[in-house]
Amino acid sequence: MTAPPPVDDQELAAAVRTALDRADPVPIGLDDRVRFAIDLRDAESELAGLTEAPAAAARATELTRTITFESASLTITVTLTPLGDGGHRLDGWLLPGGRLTVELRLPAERWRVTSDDTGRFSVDRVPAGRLRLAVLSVGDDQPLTRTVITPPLEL
Amino acid sequence: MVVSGADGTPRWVGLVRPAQAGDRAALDVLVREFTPLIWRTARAQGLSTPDAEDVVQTVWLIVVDDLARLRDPQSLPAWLITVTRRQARHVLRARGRETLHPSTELPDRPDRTDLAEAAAVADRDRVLWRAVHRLPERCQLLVLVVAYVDRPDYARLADALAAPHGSVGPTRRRCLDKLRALLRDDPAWSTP
Repeated sequence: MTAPPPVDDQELAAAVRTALDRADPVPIGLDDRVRFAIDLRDAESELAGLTEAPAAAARATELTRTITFESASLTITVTLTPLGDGGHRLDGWLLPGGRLTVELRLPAERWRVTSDDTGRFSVDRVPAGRLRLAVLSVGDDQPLTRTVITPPLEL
Repeated sequence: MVVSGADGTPRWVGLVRPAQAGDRAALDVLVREFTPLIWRTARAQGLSTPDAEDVVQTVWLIVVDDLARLRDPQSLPAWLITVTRRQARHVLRARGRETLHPSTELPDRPDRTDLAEAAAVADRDRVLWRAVHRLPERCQLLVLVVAYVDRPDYARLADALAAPHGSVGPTRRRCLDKLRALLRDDPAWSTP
């Protein structure tokens, strides 16, 4: 049997879709899990307030900022160091400490990092723009009952 | 899925505004409609199955948060592709392998190797899979859009595909022709 590839674009596209869906199917229930994640989205979150105005560390450049956010269950301290190209290095510290998932919510991207046992985390370069941090209450053995989200920072 | 609105526009286009206004049922239909495109795009970037699952969820969370800012409903597929590629690259970087040349190997599917007929079908799938993954990245994405989006507006895909405006239509034809050529040249295509 020697069938040439379909000449019609839509037929060819349909053949591609059928083959790819059979060969590498979308996991069963994935769209349900997406809908569940949307439902959970921030429904259980608490907003961390800004408690400390930016304070320059003694040896830091004048543009280095240290900012502290506080919520009922967590204190988040971040130090932002300009890299000279518009980006910033971010060093963060969570209290109480422990291994927590920190999500950086950038305008069109989300990055996840994990804090170490003492609650410290860092990101080598955060691009310019609006940034919110969300400390997620996912996984066992972590102190949060709700996700904690900071107000947006303009970097 | 091909379901038309009354005026012949694809159904998904008419669901974007209601979803933006908070209509959860409309959003659910969009999630069902476009999750396969996001999945396929993430896999085409070389993500593993678990990573691709995470990326699909994250992409939807990003998109839902920012949905109000989407001005043009027809741009939804382009936006989904852009966010998916960006998120996939982030995951790949985090995994320490900045590869944009994903494996052309299929995942193991031991569940169907026992049937001769099914194996022949699987062979055909494999040939198509291989051919799609041999296309340059832009072509792959275009073929996925043709296969997974009901009547897309190709002009709006230029930015997402980093293609010059006005060139997407001709590029699409070229990509489909290239895919046909790869299939014709693959001996496994003509000898099932």
